[in-house]
Formats: sequence, structure tokens, C-alpha cells
Amino acid sequence: MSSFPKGLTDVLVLRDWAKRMCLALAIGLSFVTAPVGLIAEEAPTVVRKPVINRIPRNLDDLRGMQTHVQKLAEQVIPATVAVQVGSAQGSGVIISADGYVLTVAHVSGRPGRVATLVLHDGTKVSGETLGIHRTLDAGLIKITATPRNDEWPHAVMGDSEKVQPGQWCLVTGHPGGFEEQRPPVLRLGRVLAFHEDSTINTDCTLIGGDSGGPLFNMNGKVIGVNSRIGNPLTVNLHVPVNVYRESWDRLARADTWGHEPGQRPYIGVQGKPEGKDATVWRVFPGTPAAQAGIKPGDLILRFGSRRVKDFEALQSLVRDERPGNRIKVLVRRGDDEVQLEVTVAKRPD
Amino acid sequence: MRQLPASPRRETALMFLQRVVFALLLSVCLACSSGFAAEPDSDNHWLSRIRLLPGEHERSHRTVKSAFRSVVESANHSTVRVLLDGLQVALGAVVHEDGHIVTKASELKGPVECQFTNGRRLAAKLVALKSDYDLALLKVEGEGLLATKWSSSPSPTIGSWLATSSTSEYPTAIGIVSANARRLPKPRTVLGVGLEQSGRRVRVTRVLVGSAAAKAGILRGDMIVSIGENAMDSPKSVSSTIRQMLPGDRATLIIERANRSLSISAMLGEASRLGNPDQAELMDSLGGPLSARRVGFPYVLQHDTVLRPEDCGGPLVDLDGRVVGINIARVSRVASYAIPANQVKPLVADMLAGKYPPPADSVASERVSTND
Repeated sequence: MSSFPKGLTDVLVLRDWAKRMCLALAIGLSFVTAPVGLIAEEAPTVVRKPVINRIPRNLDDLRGMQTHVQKLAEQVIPATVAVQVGSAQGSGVIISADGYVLTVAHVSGRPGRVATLVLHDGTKVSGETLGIHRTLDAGLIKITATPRNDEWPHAVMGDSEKVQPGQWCLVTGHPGGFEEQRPPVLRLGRVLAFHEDSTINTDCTLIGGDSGGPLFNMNGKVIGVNSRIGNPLTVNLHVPVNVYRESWDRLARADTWGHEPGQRPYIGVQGKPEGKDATVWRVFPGTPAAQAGIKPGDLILRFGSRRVKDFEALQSLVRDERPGNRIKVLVRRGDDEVQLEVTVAKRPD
Repeated sequence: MRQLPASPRRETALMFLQRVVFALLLSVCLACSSGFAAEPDSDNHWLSRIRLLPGEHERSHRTVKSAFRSVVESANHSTVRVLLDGLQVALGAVVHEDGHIVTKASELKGPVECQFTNGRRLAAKLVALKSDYDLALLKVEGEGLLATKWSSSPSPTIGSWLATSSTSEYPTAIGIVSANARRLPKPRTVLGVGLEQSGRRVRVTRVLVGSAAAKAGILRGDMIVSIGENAMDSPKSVSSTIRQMLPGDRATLIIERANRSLSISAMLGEASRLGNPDQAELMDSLGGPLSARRVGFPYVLQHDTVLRPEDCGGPLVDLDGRVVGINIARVSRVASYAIPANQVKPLVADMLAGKYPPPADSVASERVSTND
């Protein structure tokens, strides 16, 4: 396992401090310019946002929010499953009537394996693992059993692009692994930060067994999938649901691509700056490319089964591999076409 | 991921721990800190954020806790801080106006005082102890105290707000019900060894990495002669003796090693559903201290409130301000347990009637903990 992110607390503390300073400045400015926003809040004629979209301030707010969360619990828990694939245990969420299940790559693993899924009421059903996006930790499973009433209980995918820091959210999953007589465990929190392409950070606490389980917004839509944690209680990271939307076709047809965190792949060639094609300009000594016999001046024609049109395309193909993969490379050298094999390695830090 | 030590002969046949991969990676520092890019903003954007989010985004921010002040007001007057040598080791709930207080038994490692909302401190005497629930009844010399208002409704449903009272104006912490009140399976207490019959004795054939046995220094080849008062004559006698104890209890083993007799004290562990003992311990260490006694309760209400161990033992209330449980443990990064009110009430009645006196060897208010 990767080591503890010792510096992370410091990063978070600094960031929050910086934000507070900015907010203090902005509040100061706001009093000077008397913006509509801040004062309108106090005016009795302005209608308050529904409590689920803001912070509860009194008992009425709390009751309103409680009723809402109790109702959501009834919808989201039945869509949550425990997942077991080989020796890996985690969670997942059913997002379609025909039984597609979102989970994470480090739970589902390779495509084509049998998955055992446990529904919220303890029923066990079988599924098959489909594709994985290793870098972003997205995985897909399809239930292969036939549902009662033609339909699996399911949730609906939301739009993670709309996620805002501070918004309330819910998490379900099987912390510590599936426990008989214990349905998926509900937690409430707020989005702390969101970086669009990689992760949503919330304070809904997660632990081993929760991986692959869903993160919901206050409309009960799936906005993320539980992926990793850090040492502090506030570091709980989720894959944004739009990753699944955007990679849907590849996941559904059981593609696998990308690399695990900390395992960036490389082969050790450099192209000419502003080069028009995939001619190798430099080969670094001691690298997979050097060991494979690639030489400066070689024009890379194919990388694996894919034609390579330019150096950027080559880099993109290498990024989809993982350290250890052996790839056949076809190069043009002078008048000859030479077939080589390169073993992708982990990029040194 | 950590693996069990390979033992080719016994790999498939005798494994009694599932080879599971802990399906959760630890975040890599750089990968997630790079995500905290500065948000693009205009004046309007910053101002709208001020309206919605004054300060931090966390759910336990002061503003949110502020909304609960009226919820905990009454319960706070029935709450005490339990102090050992002046330091808070637990909270407690006044259950009778004549000064009887319920709290978490295993935190009472010596004579304690109870401190009330008005700051007053009173010495407490231990009156009763129910160890499976880890509940203790204390008595202070006081009168006209405010007893807790128990809820008479069924246990709150999943998603209900919960507030933990304090001796101040605000709640200690807030959270929601994560799972309905339920009976817990008995924990599987384990030492972490493989055993075989050796004549009329028991030999250790393997020691699990990170297990209670490993930590206590038990080695492969050791003969287990006795555990506590009981002589061990078969692997079954070892496992059934261990099973009768709780994870966290100390077992004293007499071991024979190379013709020498050794006494070894082992703090027993729990068979976890996921991973080997090392992984379980890793998960336990992520994100804050856990209660020393956090297993073996018969019936619990599970919630997601973040509590420190010293915040346990006192009232847990619903939005009506009624006490729905007594917080009994910070169990993991994701869970705290409370004993539901409908379990505590009859127990308290029994304790007030004289049942469950503390063990004879523990002088009133002296050591009650079963853990070290």
C-alpha cells in the first residue's frame, strides 16, 4: 500500500487558512460595496433556499432536513450492494434497471471474472466484471442473474460537474466488509473540495470495504463512487460520476486502460520538439526502449495493435499501459521494418 | 498489500483466515493535493459563497452545531463530565435526581469525579457494573439533580439526526443514525495461532503476522500448557477458552519452549471480516483514537457521529431532545455505537435495585476496567 500522506494535513490546513483570509477580505469588501447578496439575505421578503441546499440554522431547518434524509435513505440503501470478486471485497451501486453496477477498479479488477453481489436485504446474486479505468479507479460490473419483476432496485447517475463545495451529501457502503443482518451503512457529510477530473473530497467517513460504494447528492442521484482515504477524518475521496459517463462505452465493452496510482508508465524515448511524426529523437540509456533496441532515428509505426500517427499519440498510448506490460513495437529503420518488444516500466520519481 | 507468510504445505488446506485484499487504497499525498487548485472566481462567486458557506465546509462546523443548541439544552443539564485525576475520561448521564449516574465502565480506572454544567465537581462511588454492556452506575452526593428524559419511542430510523450532549451550550458532536438498532453477533476472539495435538499437549504450528500471539511473542513450536487457571490438553480447549473471552481482554499463558517454562500475557484480538490482523490494525489507526473497549456489546444503535473515546458514556438525543441512547464507544473511523434507551432503562432500574454489584476485588470506585 502507498505510504501515509504525511504532508496532506499541512496542505489542507494551509488551504483552509488561505481561504479564510480571502473570505475575511471579501467580507470586508462586501460591507464597503453593499452588495445585494449579503443584505438581501436579511430582508424578510427574500425566500430562503430549501434547507438541503444550505446550512440548517434552527430546529425547523433540522426537522426539514431530517425528513428529507430519512426519505432518501429508503431510496439509496436498496441500490447499494456488497461486491466480492476473488479475494477483493468492497461495495457498488446499481444504476440501471438491467443491473449495471458502478464500483472501483481496485475491487472489480480484470474483466470477465465472476462477481458475487449482495443486495441490501441479504440476497446474493452473480455478476460479471466489465471494464476498468485504472488511473481514475473506475470499474463496472453487470449483474448476470435475472431480477424479480424484471427490474433491479437502482439509483440514477447525476452530474458531477454540478458538485459544489459545501453541499450536503450521503454515502452508503459496507465498511469493514459485509456483515450479516447489517444493511448498507449510511453516513451524512458535505463536499469539502472537488477537482473536476480526479476526485471529490467529502467528510463522509470511509474505511476498507466502502470502496466502490456510492456518494449521493441531496436529490438522491449518484455523484461519485468511494475510492480512497487519507489519514485525516476529512480526507475521503470519491471518483466523480462523470468519469463513468464519459468512459461508459469503454467500460461496458470491457476495456481496461490506465495505471494504478503511483505506477506511471514510461518507455524512455523523446521525440523532436515540433516533430511532425513519431520519429524517435532520443533514447535514454537503461530504459525499456533502450533495452528493447529502439534507436534514435527509428520511426514508430505501431505500438501494440495501434497505428501511431505522431509522438503525442505515442505518449497517449504509453499512458494507457501499465508497468510490466510487454508491447510489440513496429519501427521503420532506413528501408526496413523492424519488430521489437518493449516492457513498459514505472516512471522513476 | 500485506500477505500472510507463505507456507506452501498448508496454503490451501488449513488457512483459517480468508485471503482477502483490503479493497481500499490509501491516498497518495501528491495525487490528491494537486486537486486543490484555486477556484476561479468573480466577485459574485465569492459573495454567493459567503451567503452559503461562512467559513469551512465541514458538516460539524460551528454554524451547524449551533442549530442544535435548543436540541441539547435539556439533556446538557443531565450530563456530567467524568474526570480521573482531573482529566475527562468519559461523559455520564444523570439517571436519578438523587445523584445516580450512568457511564462507560471500562474508562473508570480509578476513583472519579463528576463535573456538572455549573462547574461543580462531586466525588463518585461505583455502585453497579454490567460488563457485557460496559455500563457502570455511579453515585454522587447530590440532590435535586435533573435526570435524563428518556425517549419512549422506538429507536430512531436511519437518517435521523442525533446530538451528543455536553456540559456547555453546544452539543459535543452531531451525526445521523447509520443503521437501525440491532443485536450484534458475538465477536470472534482469537489469539492468531494454528495448533495441533502433540501427545496430550498443544503445539503452536503457526503464528499469524500482526496477531495477538505475534505481539505477545508466542513462537512456532511453543507448547501451550495453560491459559489462566485452565490446563490445555487439546487445540479445542485452547479455542474454546479464548472464545469465552472478549477481544481486548488479557490472557495469561504458560508456554513451554525448549524445556523452559514461560509466562506470556497476550491481549486478545478479534477475527476481522476483512484482511489480516495487520490490515485491520492499519484501518483502526486511520483518523482518530478509538475506544479501548469497543466490541462485545449485545445490542447497539450505530451512528456516524465523530466522538473521541472520552466523549462516550453520556446521553445521545434526538431532535425532540429525548435521550435515545447512551454513547458506549468510538468503534472505527466510520462508526460510533450507543446502547439504545430501551436497553439502558431496564438495566438502570435493575442497578438501582441493587443488581450487578461491582466485583468484590474492586473497591468502590477502584479499578473496573477489564482491559489494560
